[in-house]
Amino acid sequence: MSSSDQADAVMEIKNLSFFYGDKQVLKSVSLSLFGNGITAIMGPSGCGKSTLLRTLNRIYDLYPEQRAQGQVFFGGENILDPDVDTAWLRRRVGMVFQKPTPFPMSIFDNVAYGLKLYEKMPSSVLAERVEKALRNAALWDEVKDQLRASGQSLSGGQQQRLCIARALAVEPEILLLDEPTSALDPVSTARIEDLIETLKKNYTIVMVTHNLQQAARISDYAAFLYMGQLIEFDAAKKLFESPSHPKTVDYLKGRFG
Amino acid sequence: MNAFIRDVSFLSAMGVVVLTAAIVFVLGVAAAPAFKAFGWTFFVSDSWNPVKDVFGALPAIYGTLVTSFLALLFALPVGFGIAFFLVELSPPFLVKPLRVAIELLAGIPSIVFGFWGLFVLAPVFQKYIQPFLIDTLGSLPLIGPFFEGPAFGIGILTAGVVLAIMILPFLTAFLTEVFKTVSPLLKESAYALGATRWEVLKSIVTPSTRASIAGGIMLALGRALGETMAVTFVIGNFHRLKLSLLAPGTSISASIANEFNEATTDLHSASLLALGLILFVITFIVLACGKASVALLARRERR
Amino acid sequence: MSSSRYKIRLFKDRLFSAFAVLSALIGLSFLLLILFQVCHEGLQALSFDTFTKTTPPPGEKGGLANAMVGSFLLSGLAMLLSVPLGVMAGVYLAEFGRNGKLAMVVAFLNDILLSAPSICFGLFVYEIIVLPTHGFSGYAGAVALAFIAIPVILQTTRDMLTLVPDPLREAASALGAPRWKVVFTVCFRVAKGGIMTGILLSFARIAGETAPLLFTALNNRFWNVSMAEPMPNLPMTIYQLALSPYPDWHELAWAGAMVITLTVLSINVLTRFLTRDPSVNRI
Repeated sequence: MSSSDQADAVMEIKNLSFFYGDKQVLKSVSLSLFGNGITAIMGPSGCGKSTLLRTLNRIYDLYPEQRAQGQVFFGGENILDPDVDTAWLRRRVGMVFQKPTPFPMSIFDNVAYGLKLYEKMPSSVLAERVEKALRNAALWDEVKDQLRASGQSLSGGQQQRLCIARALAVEPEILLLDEPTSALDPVSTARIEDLIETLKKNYTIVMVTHNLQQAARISDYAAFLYMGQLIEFDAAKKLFESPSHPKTVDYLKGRFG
Repeated sequence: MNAFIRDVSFLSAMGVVVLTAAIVFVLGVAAAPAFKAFGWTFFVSDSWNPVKDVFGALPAIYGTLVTSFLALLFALPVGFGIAFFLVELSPPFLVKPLRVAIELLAGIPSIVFGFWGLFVLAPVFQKYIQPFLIDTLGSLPLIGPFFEGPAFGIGILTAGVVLAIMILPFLTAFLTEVFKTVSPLLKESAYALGATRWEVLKSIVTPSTRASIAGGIMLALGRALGETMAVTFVIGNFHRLKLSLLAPGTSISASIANEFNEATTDLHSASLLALGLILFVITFIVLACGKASVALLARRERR
Repeated sequence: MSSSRYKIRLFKDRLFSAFAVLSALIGLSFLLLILFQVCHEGLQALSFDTFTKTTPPPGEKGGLANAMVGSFLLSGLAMLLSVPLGVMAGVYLAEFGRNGKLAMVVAFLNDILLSAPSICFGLFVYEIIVLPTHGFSGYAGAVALAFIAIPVILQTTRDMLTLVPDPLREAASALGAPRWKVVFTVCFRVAKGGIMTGILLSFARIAGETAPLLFTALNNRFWNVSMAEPMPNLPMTIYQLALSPYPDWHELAWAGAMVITLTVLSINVLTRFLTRDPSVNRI
């Protein structure tokens, strides 16, 4: 962390604690997310890595028993502030989930869904934006002839890229990926990994994964969480090659889950 | 022993087929004199005159369909709203007690609803609601004729409202179950794009459950069509076709309940039995359509 | 984010949420109002006589004792008829005839009978029992009620047995048990809680049914425990008392409505209690 310049952090997490009812799952986590790079969040299951991700777009708001404490600065605002407009936040912070979640509508409408929420635009512009998003998600060539087909008719890997296109269409600054390849076969996984690497040029990407090889392959920064605490956060190369904390060493050697 | 048990269970299962066929057959035979005497005019005639021994089913069929339609019209939005409230809005501590209450209320015998409708709802309708409707909507063009006439309290509209209250718990419990089957991940995906709860319900939850919703609506419609006691008390038992929803009317089940034991002639009984057969066939078709639409839509969704 | 589009979206959301809260309030208050009024009026009319005296002649006070006993007898006989038939048919659908054509047809028809108009069952039983025997009778009423209970019992039996995992059946069969023994000694042990629930629910359902009794059991103002005679019963008594012009009778009808509502509700509560039994949840 010391090697990085605080100035270009896109998002600053400060002393973040998180509770499910009485149960604390994050304990005072502080972390900076840097622009145009991939930050991998790793850790054994139940360590709070998904929870950390779900704080960053306030999706946890849906569940009244969940609450966060601390600060997360983004675009000059503390996004944990109840006054922050979550629609504003979620437009700038996109998210893709563990399993593909195509909406029950056509491929085109899936991608256009977010766009239509925010802007009224002529259909020609809408079509352009959808095409751009699908191209960005490396899906355009496969679906350009069947845009009216149901999103659910695609294969698992295609569905996940559709979900990425859907998130990209509203042009967010940050993309949150919650184990985006955990439900996919190796070939689809490789395609998504390639895609994520190209996307980092334009987006700040935060990816939760329990796949160490994946994290080592594509991430620029890596964070290791254990039992709700941030154990180590550093440039990926440094963390994987010479971790400084004994728990990180154990984890990388496969001592726990 | 194994063969014996298997055969007994086979015969019991066959009993269901035999029972269904027997109902249609027995009612058909018993109703034959009415169909023979009136032919197709039985379905389109609105005269029901035990003295002259002339019977037409139209007012009863009309009343059955209109009261059931009104019941759905009132109960569906409210049921939708309650289910949405329970699944998305309600504070967690309220969800369980409300769901249990609704499921329990679904078990209240229909006679209690009819009875309550006659003694509590009908007077309120007569005194406040119907005069209000007559004064406001009754003078409008086009829809005016539906709200004309004196305020009787009982009538088609009252029956529709009682039916709506009766099917509401069932419909709500059903919709709540269905809404809960939608994967939280799918809903979160829409929320993560910044969609509001209403938008998630409209474009995610409803489309992905439309097969089950259609099935539930048909089931509720089937119940409303076949309901006897909730309707008989408040519909007025009046065999005339009136456009006004405030006028007394009759339904198939109410006509049978009111007249069968006092049927004056053989043709009168046969006509009532014919009504019973028509009711059985109508609900059979509605329920079968419900099941078919579930199967069809489910298959299309999988594709 | 200050766009008017966003404001409209937010407004729609608020509007619909308000509608949802409102419909929850209206819908539930209507239902609770009914429950409250039935209990309120019922309690006022309820007395010791309600449980000890028979239905009164016009203008006099009386009770509902004969109707309650009659209802109990009718429902009891209906259960005796429907439980074996419904359970055995469910066994066929879930075990012997599983996935067969007949099982599919039966399941389809059963789903329809489950929601078929109960008055049609009344007319049917009138034609096949009351007419040939020249008289209304408790037997006819019980048969009509049994026709209503069978589909409920059949459906829950089938559903509960379908939930029993196949490895359990295979394990029992592997020990050499014939299929019927597997069903009755293994599957039933797992599914019995659920099946009991179905039976109780069907009892609650027929206890409140009126329409099928109109032309079968009819009603009876006097004490009667003979199934061959018209049987007094609570729903029909309420119906007749309510449609009479006498205020005394109306009061008694309220008492009857309360008794029937609370009976049905408590059976339903009992089934919830039963399904919370860990032996059921283990399925």
